[in-house]
Amino acid sequence: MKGKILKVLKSNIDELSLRKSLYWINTDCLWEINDEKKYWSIVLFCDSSIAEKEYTHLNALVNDHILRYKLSSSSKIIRENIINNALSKLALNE
Amino acid sequence: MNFTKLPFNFRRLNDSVIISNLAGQHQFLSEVEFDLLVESNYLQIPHHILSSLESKNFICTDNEVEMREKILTSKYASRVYNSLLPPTLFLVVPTLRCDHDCHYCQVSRVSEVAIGYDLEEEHINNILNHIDFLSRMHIKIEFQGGEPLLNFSFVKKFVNKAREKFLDKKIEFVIATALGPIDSDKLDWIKGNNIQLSISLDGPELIHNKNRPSKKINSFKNTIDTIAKIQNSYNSINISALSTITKDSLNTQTDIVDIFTKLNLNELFIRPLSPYGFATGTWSKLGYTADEFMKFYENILDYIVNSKLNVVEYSALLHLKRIFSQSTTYVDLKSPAGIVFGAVCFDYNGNIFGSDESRMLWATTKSKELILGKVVNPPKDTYKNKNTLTLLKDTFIEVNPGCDDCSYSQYCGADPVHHLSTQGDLIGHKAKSFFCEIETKMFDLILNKYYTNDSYKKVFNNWLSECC
Repeated sequence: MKGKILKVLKSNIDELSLRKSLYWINTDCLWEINDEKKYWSIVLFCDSSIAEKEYTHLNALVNDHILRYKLSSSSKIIRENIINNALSKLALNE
Repeated sequence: MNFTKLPFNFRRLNDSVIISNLAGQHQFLSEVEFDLLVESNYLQIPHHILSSLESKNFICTDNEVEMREKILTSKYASRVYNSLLPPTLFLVVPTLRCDHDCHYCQVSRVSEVAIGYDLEEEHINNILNHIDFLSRMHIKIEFQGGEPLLNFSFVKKFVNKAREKFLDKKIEFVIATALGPIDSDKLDWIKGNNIQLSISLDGPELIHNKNRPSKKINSFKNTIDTIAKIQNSYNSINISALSTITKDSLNTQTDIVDIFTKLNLNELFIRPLSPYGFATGTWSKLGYTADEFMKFYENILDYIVNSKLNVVEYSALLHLKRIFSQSTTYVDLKSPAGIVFGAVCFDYNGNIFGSDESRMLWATTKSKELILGKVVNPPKDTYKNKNTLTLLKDTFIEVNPGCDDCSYSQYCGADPVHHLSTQGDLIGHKAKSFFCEIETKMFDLILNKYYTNDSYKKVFNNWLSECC
């Protein structure tokens, strides 16, 4: 089976976000991530009947995760503070 | 204008985007508005949208970050705290015997004459001690089956003893019944004791009787005749009706709504099949895809809204309440899961489960890990045990794979027992989860209709104001 390749600039997204995108790909497909110098290279292996659809799906998922990665770069610390402080507050109440 | 973006999740819906935050607030944006927000192009965002984003804690001026963080912390802590409050719903199973032979029976009922499937009356005091230990001021006790009316003496004794014990608490009683064994004596007692009835009405006669056959009666005819009898002679008895949808129901279009309106039932609860009990074995015959169910469901809502019918569809209402008033009463939509915190179930054999679904799954798997304890055990030793913690610890969906980025994680639930039943683990792979697919599509549908269709918005707001 020949795989379709998607290349993403490493500066745009981290590996975890990439794996989160692949979580939603049809589970009948196989994939691999290759760590190249400047790019993440994702090879997607699907049955020909769903290959095009899943490749388009993966493109959309990765694009949205690039946005999430961008958004979280500024708000990640605030989010962690909120969750940690909220849980401490609840623990203290107990 | 300089703003800081506070943390939020987003999800695309057709040509719009829904964003939500840890406080449970959300904002519906066009794709253009969303792009402007992501690119920090605040000057080009319409003023009323910008104000809304600011008031809902999606953005703030740079000097307000610390204060907004505290506000979000407080709102989030309050949401988690509310999810961890003691349960108000207690399910009691007087018997597993039933006079119906429903093909999708989720509780794995036994025959009407089977022996050894009734809850002993000597356990009533023990169960009441557990309820007393767990409950606050408001208690809802629901008799489930089998067919609870087949052990009517138990139900009557239980209600009397509960009223004596809980003089200072507000108690509601519900009997979930297929109405087979009901007669005037039972209706007199039900009316006199202010008991509500929860019944099943699956659609037109052909579908209802196919889903819910009985060797003794025409179930459809018995159900509608009994409803008419109650409305004529016992009109203070509150009836709520549930419709479980099977593959055959999908072809009936809106017939189910017409049946409800003809019977003057103005509360309809459309429920998809759940993968428990006999439904796991009959899924290939009775089941459907999430898309097939949602197409049917949207048709039903369109019909109610466009025909201006005086009918409230409860599944939509429960989702609306979760979105707009942060309600935590619906056990399927709770994070952490509704195990113990949503409901506790006392089964016919004295086993205690953290949810109705747990006892359903236990009936087919006999998995000991689902049992929290026995009614004969002291309550204080029952609920903080290893099994409860195992079932609950992975059910904070904010940190579950597949849920942590989802815009609906503040409104949805974990349903570990569904995933245990279908995938063999408590978290489940969400890309393969029927629960995730149905719930995501439900939130998509409801939010999209609310924000893009004025008729829907009006109807949904009416439901929220009248039924909260």
